[in-house]
Amino acid sequence: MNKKRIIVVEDSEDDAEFTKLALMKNNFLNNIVVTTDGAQALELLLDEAEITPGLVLLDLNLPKINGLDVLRRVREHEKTKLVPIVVLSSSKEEKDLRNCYEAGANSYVRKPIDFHDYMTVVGEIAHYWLKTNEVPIMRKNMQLVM
Amino acid sequence: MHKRIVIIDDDAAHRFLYKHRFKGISDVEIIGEFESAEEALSHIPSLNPHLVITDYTLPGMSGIELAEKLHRYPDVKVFVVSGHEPDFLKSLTEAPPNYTILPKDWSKAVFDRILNACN
Repeated sequence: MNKKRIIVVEDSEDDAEFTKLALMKNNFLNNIVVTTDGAQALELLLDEAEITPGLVLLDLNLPKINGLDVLRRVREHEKTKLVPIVVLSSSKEEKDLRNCYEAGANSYVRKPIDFHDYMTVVGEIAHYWLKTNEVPIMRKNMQLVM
Repeated sequence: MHKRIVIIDDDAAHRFLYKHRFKGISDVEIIGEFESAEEALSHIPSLNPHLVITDYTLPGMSGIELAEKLHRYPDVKVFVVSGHEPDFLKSLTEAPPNYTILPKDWSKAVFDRILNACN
């Protein structure tokens, strides 16, 4: 059976390691795929038939295609429109928070938070989406919000 | 003092995250969780919570409309959590807010604000 993957989209090596460590401590080590720019993430998410994304952890500031555009294009695509997407961002701009929820982010987690909190939040998000098999709900006023 | 919290969010993932964030914190208990403001309003008088944490975007009544209705319970502290900018939400109401608006960003700062209200 094709295992559901956690796709980490993060250009900062340090932040990617931080997220991987948080997932490892929550026993998700074998599910992780890391991509380092928006174009690579879209290629993997939209075109790679053998990868079944169970959760996308998405940074906003990415090379080539930014995270918000990745989010919008993933939501428009039949294959990925219901994949849970959680934005992990260090942006202090309130408009980024709004734009991501309006574009269909399931959650928005603001970095930096201390490692214990980060590990807890990332672990709980991964547990929820990979263990419950819930499907994100659609809302008519914002494309997809959870 | 033991603090009782009610959570309102139509998103099961976010209710799950709230429950786990508060789990293990002494003297804090989630005593009710609801998917709509209307459902919460019918239970809040009997639950008698210290804190209500509600999403702004809900099916039916919004979190701000709920907060305004809870004005009649002055001992209940209300947090409206949202992906919108705080200034936008404040512009939706003419009444002096009896509630606090927080970003839905799962940051430590947000939970510290909520937990400080528990003290």
